[in-house]
Amino acid sequence: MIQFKEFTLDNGLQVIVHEDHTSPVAVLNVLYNVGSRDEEEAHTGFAHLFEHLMFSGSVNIPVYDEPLQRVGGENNAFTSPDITNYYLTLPAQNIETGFWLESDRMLSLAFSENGLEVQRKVVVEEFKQNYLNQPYGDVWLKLRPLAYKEHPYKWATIGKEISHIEEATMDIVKAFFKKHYAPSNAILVVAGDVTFDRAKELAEKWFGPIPAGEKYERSIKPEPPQTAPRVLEVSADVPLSAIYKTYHMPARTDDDYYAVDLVSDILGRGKSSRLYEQLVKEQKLFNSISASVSGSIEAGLLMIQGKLNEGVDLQQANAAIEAINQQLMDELVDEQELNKVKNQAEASIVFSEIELLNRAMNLAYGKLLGDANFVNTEGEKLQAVTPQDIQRCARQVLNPNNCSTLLYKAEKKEVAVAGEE
Amino acid sequence: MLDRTKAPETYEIDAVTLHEAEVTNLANGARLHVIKSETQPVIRLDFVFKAGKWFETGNGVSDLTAKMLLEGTINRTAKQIAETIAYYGASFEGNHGYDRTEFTLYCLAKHLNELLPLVLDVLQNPSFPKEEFALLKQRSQQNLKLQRQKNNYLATHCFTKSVYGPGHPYIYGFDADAFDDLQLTDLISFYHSHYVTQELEVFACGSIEASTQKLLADEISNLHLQPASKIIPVNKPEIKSAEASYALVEMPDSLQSSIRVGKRFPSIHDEDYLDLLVLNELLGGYFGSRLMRNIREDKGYTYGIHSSVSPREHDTLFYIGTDVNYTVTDNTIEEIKKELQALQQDEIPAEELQTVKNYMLGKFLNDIATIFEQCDRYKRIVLYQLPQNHYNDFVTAIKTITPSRLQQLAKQYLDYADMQTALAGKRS
Repeated sequence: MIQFKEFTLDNGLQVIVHEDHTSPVAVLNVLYNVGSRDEEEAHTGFAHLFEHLMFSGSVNIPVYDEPLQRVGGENNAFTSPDITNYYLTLPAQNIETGFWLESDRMLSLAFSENGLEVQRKVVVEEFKQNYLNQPYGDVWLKLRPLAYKEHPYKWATIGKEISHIEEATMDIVKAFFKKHYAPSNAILVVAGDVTFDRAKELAEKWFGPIPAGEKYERSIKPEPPQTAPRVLEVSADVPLSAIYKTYHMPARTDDDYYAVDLVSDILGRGKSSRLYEQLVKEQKLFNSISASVSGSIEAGLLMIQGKLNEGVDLQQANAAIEAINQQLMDELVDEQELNKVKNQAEASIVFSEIELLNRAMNLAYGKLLGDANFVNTEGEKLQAVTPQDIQRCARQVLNPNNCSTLLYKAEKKEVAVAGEE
Repeated sequence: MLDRTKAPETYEIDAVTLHEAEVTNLANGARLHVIKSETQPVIRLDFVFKAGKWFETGNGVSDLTAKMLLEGTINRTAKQIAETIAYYGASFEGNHGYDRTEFTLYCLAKHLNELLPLVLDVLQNPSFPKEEFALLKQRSQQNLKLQRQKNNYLATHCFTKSVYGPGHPYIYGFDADAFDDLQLTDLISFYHSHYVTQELEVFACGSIEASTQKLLADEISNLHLQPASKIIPVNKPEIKSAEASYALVEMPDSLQSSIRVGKRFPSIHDEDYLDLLVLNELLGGYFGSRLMRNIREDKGYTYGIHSSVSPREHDTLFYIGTDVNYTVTDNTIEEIKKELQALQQDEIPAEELQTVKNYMLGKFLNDIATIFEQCDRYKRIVLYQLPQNHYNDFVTAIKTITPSRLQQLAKQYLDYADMQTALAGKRS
């Protein structure tokens, strides 16, 4: 149970305060309601590139990181298809520095040409390091456009292709800031060794004067229902062939979200799960296999991913996965197995609340979904799932017509050559 | 009117305090260390054996022995073990390190009673089933093939081989054929000689009530442990560093090169050690470091560049690591050389030093915020046999170090001519 209080500033900024005086540290988490789903198809990867630019100086402060480091703080940020989230941690007595830094970059950026040029290069290297120059790194670049045909979830947050990042101009940067970085599109969480009154006073002092800006109204058409199986076969220089299967599932706030989440756990969470136990241990078809859900705000994906043992046929392995899915559709899950995945989910929630920063992020995310208290209600919703819910949701989601399959075939690899000078 | 160009007032970072542990010497020779904190209803239990890579008799022995323990006991199959752990929403895994191997249980405090018998069974009664071994060996061989396609794996492997010489246990990663000759009997004999010994250290932290503490002491002292002296002594592996060298693992299709530059550093007990941590931080330890500002934030060669100091029980490794656009591989090495030289030639400006000092103090404060992190610091004091005030000394070292001391250390320790360079990828 995470305790909190909240209020909204006149300019629309929503603020949540979570006090925790067990350790002399404090956290500021600023969530902006913008992700890669808000990009245009011709300029993908932009929300993330923009996140980098938020560190290249704001209107009154030439460098973001240095003043924070000087008071003992550290920070980072991430971008997802749904949100862009900035966070900093610092000794509690220096919390005002955090307010100063975060409010200035919400007010306006320096928009430095040099900053843009350098961050374009940095992001291109990030693209290569994580997506192109890693075995299986390009899987999601291929899988997203297979699973989504219309919805902007069809491109990866890093971007569809490197050229989109290379072509980003300062005009687009400025327009993006104006459209998405107003107080009314943001949620601030202040957490840690700070009182509610002090947090409120500082929020009013530093964020209060920022002009409200325009509230961004999102209008994204939902992905049309998938009506037939999709299969894409690719090959790459990797040691093991792999299978990736995605199934469309309900949105994050849908009543059935929790049942589908538990469906994925029954199938593929850990070594006691059905897919692992049967396909890695008993049938010896896979080297590893797991299932999970994407957790995206709009209708997301349940995903099964596995790497095959050498010599195993892709079609045979795929059929083995489908047989296990079919079993979950045909037969009611017993209470013991359902309780197992509920206990796992309960423990995950408790462990996710150990770190102050995670609690702050959970509150911000809940608020974005409509209620900061969301995080405190999830345990109950998971416990309420019945074996009948599991079967009903399994039949709906694991339907083969709802599935996109990427068959990732291992090609013969070249041997690394060691040499010396 | 608010003046946003002016930074708010700032305050010094106070002294830090670590939780104290209650230590019990158990009748069977093991030691139990308990650190209590009621803030979260969770418990972590670490069983630490002197069974790391340092002691192994062949490649991969310590790694696979740790994994095999969870593959079955004389009382439970692998499946039963996995199901019980999952049923209570817990996690229980073995991790082999360079010096020690640890088994760690994370669970909700309310489930400890149900899980403890399984944990002790796994540690005391492994059955080493043949069929599970065959599968584990196959998975390990395949995973190794995958790892060896990654530039960063190959670069660190190659680099540590240059630093420590062929066959040394402190080499990171494995050669391609490392697991091929491994036999189940190797693992069984490693288990008997290095696991169930009286040098076992157990660390329990979290929401531990008096009754739980007593249960832990009682149950753990039921483990049958043999005297440490019965262990076959392992000769201290000799370090055969190459002369400062440059090694390239050619990956012709690479878009990037993974670069490692570094050398051995003095032991964690050395009087220079804590000061070198500050020097490392300045060079490449944080986002505002010299390397990061130059090579990422000015040149845009890379997504990230870092330097690190990794202590082991018998040595310390220092290295700079980065993945860069392959066309600037050589330029990056040149820039690294320049930054190393700059630290030797010029004193650090006072303002930069103040920033790094405050950053390190604040980070330390944040790094000991949870009970698990507190326990990790305490564990290091025990396992490395450090003085109890080690972390106070660390804070003092940060607060008192001077620019001239840092320059002197840079001259002594950061000469590129003494370093090994390794890269995986291509040069142009």
